[in-house]
Amino acid sequence: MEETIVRNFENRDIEEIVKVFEDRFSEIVGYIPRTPELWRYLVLDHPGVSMEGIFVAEVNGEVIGYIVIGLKGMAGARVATIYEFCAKDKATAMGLLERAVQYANEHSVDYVLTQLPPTDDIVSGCLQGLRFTKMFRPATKVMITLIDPLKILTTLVEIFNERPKDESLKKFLEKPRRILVKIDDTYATLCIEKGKIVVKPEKERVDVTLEMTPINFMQIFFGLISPLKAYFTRKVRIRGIFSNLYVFEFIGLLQLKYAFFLPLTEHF
Amino acid sequence: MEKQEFKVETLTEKDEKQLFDLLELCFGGGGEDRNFFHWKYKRFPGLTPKHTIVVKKDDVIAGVITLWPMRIKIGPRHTLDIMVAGGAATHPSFRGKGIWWKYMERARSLSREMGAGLLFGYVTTTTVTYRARVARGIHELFTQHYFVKILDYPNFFKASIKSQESKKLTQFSKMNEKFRQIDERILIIPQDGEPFNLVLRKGEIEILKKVVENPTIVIKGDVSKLIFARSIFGVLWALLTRRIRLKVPLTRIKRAYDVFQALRSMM
Repeated sequence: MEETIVRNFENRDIEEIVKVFEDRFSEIVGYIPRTPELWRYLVLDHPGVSMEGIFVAEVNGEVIGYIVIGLKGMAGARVATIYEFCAKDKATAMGLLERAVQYANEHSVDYVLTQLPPTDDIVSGCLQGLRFTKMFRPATKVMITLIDPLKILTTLVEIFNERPKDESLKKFLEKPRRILVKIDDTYATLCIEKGKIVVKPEKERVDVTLEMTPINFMQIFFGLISPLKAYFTRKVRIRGIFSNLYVFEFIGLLQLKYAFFLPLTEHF
Repeated sequence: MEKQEFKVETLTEKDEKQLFDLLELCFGGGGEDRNFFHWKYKRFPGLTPKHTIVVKKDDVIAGVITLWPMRIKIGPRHTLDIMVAGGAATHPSFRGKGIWWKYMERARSLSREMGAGLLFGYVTTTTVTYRARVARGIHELFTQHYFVKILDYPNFFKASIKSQESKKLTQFSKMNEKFRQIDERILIIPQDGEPFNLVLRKGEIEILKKVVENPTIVIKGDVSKLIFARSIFGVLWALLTRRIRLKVPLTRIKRAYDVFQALRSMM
């Protein structure tokens, strides 16, 4: 078995780093997909990051992980921030994190900060291993204003329509159904037609109506709360529910299946 | 009358110097310099002066907010155009005049004009604007947590105190009255750091790297759990599970609780 080497970044690594990032984030949504140009801007042009703060893990000449750590002074303290951290396995991640903490120690840093996607078990396991503590306070809240509900609904429907469907799902989609979604003053009719869902931006005669506020719409369809919980906590009002219990299944179909991670603006 | 004097418009080239001066004034304490502001507010791919909204009075920028246009991944092959609002800064002499709401209203309409489906923003729970945002229909979607590893505990405490002292509407200042009544020599022994003393003397805090004798309270173990726990119950849980150990006479338990609150209020 080849040994993993942790070394300093070189310019030739960019293409492979972007590939590692996209692989690790394949089941996460909310970030800007990386291209070599964007990565250059985010990392190499970042005023707080120097080439010495980028470490790459490689096996047999292939990049399998990397970490980016930047330094700054804040209120009299030396702070290091881990801006990007991706690895294919836990041992590689641990090697990279240890190297980054060593780099912070070499630069007399007082504390190291990082953020990570909630579902990245590899990285979170390493952080716990090196005694990083989750900061519950002060917490950073991601705030949202829904600008165009129709656009979001249409995108979610497009994602659903492109998803591979098993037999039970195909059967569910056989029966034509209509659901009216009301988000504040916006109406959209979701029609199940010929095995697909179609969004019509108008009010039509329907079997069931879903009524919700913009924030509840986002929480439900971004998978932050289950349709059933939303119903019992009155986050969604359903008219015509007793004859149309399929509505919960329907909402579940459109929910985002991936964890949402929107890095802070300093990280993008 | 005064309300009509403010103009809401997008940034022009001649405003740029004023913009960076304001950003430096409002965020310079966070360790960022002009070089960083140029990188973030000028060079981001796709960002143009039209994405920065300024509120002006007599050609003076009173407040500013930037909208970063982003195309984020939303599904396996799908992206969504969004705007991320940030860098909201109001000049100290114009605070309390509703400037924030003026540029936020324009941010919403500009996002719509530019074809974004969602407008995101970030806010720290301890700030004033968090409460203002919720009250104005900008809602919390979820919380993103930082992870921290403290390498130098005394310096970390010093920096936290310094940064909190500069903010007026924080827990720290609310606790000040209580602070003035605390007179304790606390020995802190972090599990992954050198022991040090924290002396609270009638509102003054002194951090001594050299360990002094006869401390009144000894706190040992995972000190970061004490500072960053979600609530005081999280601290009690850490005490029960012996992640944090406390050595204090039973008669001073109430005072130890006050010290915990004081330490937590520094963050």
